[in-house]
Amino acid sequence: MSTQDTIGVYDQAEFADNPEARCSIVLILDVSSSMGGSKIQTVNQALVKFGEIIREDSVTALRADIAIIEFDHSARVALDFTNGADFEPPILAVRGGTNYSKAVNLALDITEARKQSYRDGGIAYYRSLAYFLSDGYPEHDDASELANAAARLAAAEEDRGIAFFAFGIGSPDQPVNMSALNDLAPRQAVELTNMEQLDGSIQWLSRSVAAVSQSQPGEAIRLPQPDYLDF
Amino acid sequence: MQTPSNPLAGRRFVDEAGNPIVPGRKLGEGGEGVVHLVDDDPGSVVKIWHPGRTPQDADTKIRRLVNNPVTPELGVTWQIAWPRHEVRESGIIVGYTMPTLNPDESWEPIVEYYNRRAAQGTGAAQAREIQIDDRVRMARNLALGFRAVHDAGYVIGDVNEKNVEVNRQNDIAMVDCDSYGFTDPATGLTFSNQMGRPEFQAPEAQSDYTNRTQNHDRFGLAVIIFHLLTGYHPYTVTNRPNVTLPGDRISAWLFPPADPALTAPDPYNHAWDGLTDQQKELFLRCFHRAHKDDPRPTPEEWVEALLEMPTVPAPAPSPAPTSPTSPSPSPIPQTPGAPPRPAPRPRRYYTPPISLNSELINLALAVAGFAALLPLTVFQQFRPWWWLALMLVAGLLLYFPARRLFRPPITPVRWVLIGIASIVSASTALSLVGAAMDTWPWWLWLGAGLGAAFVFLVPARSSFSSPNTWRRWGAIAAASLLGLFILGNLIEEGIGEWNHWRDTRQSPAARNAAAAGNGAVAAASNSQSDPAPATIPVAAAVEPTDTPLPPTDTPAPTDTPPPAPTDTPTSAPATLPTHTPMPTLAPVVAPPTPAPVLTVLPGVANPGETVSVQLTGFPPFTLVRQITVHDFQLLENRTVNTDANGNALIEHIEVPAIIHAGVYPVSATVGDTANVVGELAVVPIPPTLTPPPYPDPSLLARRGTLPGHLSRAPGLPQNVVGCFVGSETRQRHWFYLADRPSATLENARNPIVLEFHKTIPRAELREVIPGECYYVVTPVTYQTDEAIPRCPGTVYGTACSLDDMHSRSFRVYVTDGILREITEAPLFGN
Repeated sequence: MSTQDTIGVYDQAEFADNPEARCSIVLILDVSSSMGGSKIQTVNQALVKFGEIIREDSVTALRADIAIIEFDHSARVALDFTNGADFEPPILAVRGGTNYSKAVNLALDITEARKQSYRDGGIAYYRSLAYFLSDGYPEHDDASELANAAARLAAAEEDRGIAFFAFGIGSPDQPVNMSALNDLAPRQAVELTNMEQLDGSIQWLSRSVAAVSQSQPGEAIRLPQPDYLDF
Repeated sequence: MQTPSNPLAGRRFVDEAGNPIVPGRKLGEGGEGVVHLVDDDPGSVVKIWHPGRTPQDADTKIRRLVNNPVTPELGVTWQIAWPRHEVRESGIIVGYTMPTLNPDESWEPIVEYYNRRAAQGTGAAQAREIQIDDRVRMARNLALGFRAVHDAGYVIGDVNEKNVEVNRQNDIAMVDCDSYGFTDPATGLTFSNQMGRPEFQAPEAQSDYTNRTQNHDRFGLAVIIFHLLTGYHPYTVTNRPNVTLPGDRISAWLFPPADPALTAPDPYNHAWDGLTDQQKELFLRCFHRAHKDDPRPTPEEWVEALLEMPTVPAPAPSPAPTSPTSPSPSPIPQTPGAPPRPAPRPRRYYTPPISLNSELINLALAVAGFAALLPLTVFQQFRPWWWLALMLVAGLLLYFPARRLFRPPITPVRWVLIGIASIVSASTALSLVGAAMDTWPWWLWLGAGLGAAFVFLVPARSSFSSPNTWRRWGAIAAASLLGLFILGNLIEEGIGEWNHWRDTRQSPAARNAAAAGNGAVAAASNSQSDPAPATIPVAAAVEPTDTPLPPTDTPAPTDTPPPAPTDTPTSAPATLPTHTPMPTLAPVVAPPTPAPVLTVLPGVANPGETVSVQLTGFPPFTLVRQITVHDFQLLENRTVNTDANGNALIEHIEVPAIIHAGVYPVSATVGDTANVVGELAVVPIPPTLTPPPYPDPSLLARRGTLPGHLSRAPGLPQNVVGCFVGSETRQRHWFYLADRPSATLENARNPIVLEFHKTIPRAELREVIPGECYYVVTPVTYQTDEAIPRCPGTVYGTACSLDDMHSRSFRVYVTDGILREITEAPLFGN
């Protein structure tokens, strides 16, 4: 695991080895105490499957750069950007409370650093994908920080730098507060109500990544479609 | 995405002819459909579209593709997964079958070969080290494949790095061919692939995939070739931060070599500098905005430009620390962060290292092919179909290395190998020509010539088909010379056949005249080459009963008056002082084949002596199969052909030593013609106490090497004095010993008996009487566990000894016929 010192510092040698155009993906995952049990277990298993799906196609694997940010009341880089060919997810454990803004800011920071390294290396890149998952309420955020983070996200979406998808995982006895998620995310957040849907949402992400290496009709880069609710 | 192992089970599919197609194991699934193996056809797979994903006008489309395939010719280094059959269910088209790539050849998408990160993986593509010449070959093969597809009128459309696969021979395969675009002339329907990847699409096609042309394909081809040669996408730029999508960079023509304002990573620049001028020019014509209205380089031009290797910059140590995720040893020798260096002068050729699985195997195959031809020189009595079979085997064994050798890049090393292969092939062909000359009818010749041309032309074709450079002119010239040579041989053979045919249709008078002419030639050459006076003109020229050849027809050039058939020699040759007067020779009755003449020189000989046989007036260029005297075959394994005039002089023919005195008919089997009879008078060797001239002591008294098992034979006496029997064949001498001076052969305690199980018919055994010399001539049959060559030679006997039996060398002493202690024996032929 990378130490904090080297976060966001990328060696150009990587791009000489693999100059394929890149799609950076950052998974922003809630590891607060309430995520314990089957939720974090499902997430950990889904991440392994995520890597397998990415590697099904060699071009997809070469083009996907994946980072994982875990957050509770603070936010940490659990895995700095790693090429899909090398992706091995860390095993996440739960602790602490919930803070959205720190996680979002950290995700935007490392994504921007990654893109700068692409530009330095002459690497073409696609719009970044961000997957945000939480099951709780950001009780450790103050309102202004949250608003700033939301505004920053909206700007990044606006200039097509990132596509941010927010998911809330709840259960009938413990529903998720979707309004806080919707306040943060530029587009409608999605509520997941069981573990199958949680697993499916991460699979959906990996299959969306594969679009960067698939022939498409026309030039437009297709954003992931909200068909993840069909499972 | 769980699916049952065979979701197609229970569905009934047929092809366009109604033959059932039974899908087997599932191989994969994509957005359009599923791909299954075909039961009972391991060479095919079947693709069944998902419900609702059947392409528009699939009937017309698949039928047209099936009926107008792009098929690699034999020996070509690319493959294509072209639809073979329609697949229908209840009359409705639901898919098609196509050939499968041989899984043993480790096919991988081409991206695995040019992306260095992918090449560090563990897949089959990474099991070998990919060098620049491998990638240039892939590029060239790809261009060849594009050329064939374009020549057939198709547009690929969705060119990308996953639709091209590569195997371990650097052959390429093009897949996903059902999406190719074309216009069906029958229905007027136009098909076009509407899918694509922006990275491989031309600037003008970035926003519109509807009107695809072959000119668009050429852009994608150039992008893949650029990847292979440099490792990079051509539109890689570091100082245009606002243009990040691959397609946007192409639309903006951000090609650094074309614009000094653009910068690119150092490895990109170095790789570009290493390209040949021709390659640079083609890339600029494709990727430079200034050429946007020009036609892009064709696959043909790429085939030509890829004959030469780009220069690979030597790896320089990188000043930047190496990331732990990118280990340094890497097959692509471009090093990031290397300081800019002056562009090295491009080498004209890159010499690929000789690796075990390429050139050495080729060489071994070529040698094996040559070895397969060797038996031809030994067994000359083959029937034509044997020849054909052997030639086929040898041709195949020679063909495959040739196929690889003729493949570019043509480097000096390769030229040498090609030269060796050519020489081997040419000499092999010539020996075939010589050996098989008369056994083949003309149509077999024609077939063999066409087959040989096919074997040599197919691999050469890929070299010859491009625009010609001086190197290829050389190859073409060499091939043309070879072809002319073979053609000339065929023509010469044809003329000979024609003459023969014409001769056989001439009147007897004309034949006689021709025979006389030939006889004159023969006699003239005899008188020059052989001073022996006892020339007996052969009764071959004599009609059976009534019409002997008029004496005036018999040649009488200068000094040798032709003796009458009943002549006896008046003076014995100096070399044969013991000749007795010839017995009366009666004219020998010959079958009615009057023209050819056989003359034995001299016509009188001792047993064991050598004579010459002069043939005149036979069919030209024809194999002399056998010369026979009294059931003895005189030619053994010699190969003799008549010359252009139908003449041949065969020297050093040994008169059988076993033969009794008398006059014997001599017959020659020449080609398919009937036996022609001459005659030979054999005079007996009189009993004498003086040493007779030994038939050929130098042949007997030779140093030789004992077989290893003989030196191990126990109880072998030293300095044996006794009876010696030597069998002399063309290649080997075999010696047999008796242990007593006057032993009969029957009593000979012959150590070799233990090993060879020699069988000598009792009737052939004679007692050796001291003071008398025998030519003990015995046909010997060898029965042995060892592989001993056929040994039909004559056998001599006399006294001899053997020394130093326990070493593997020995000397044989030939006595003068008087049995004494061996120490007194003169040593011959030391």
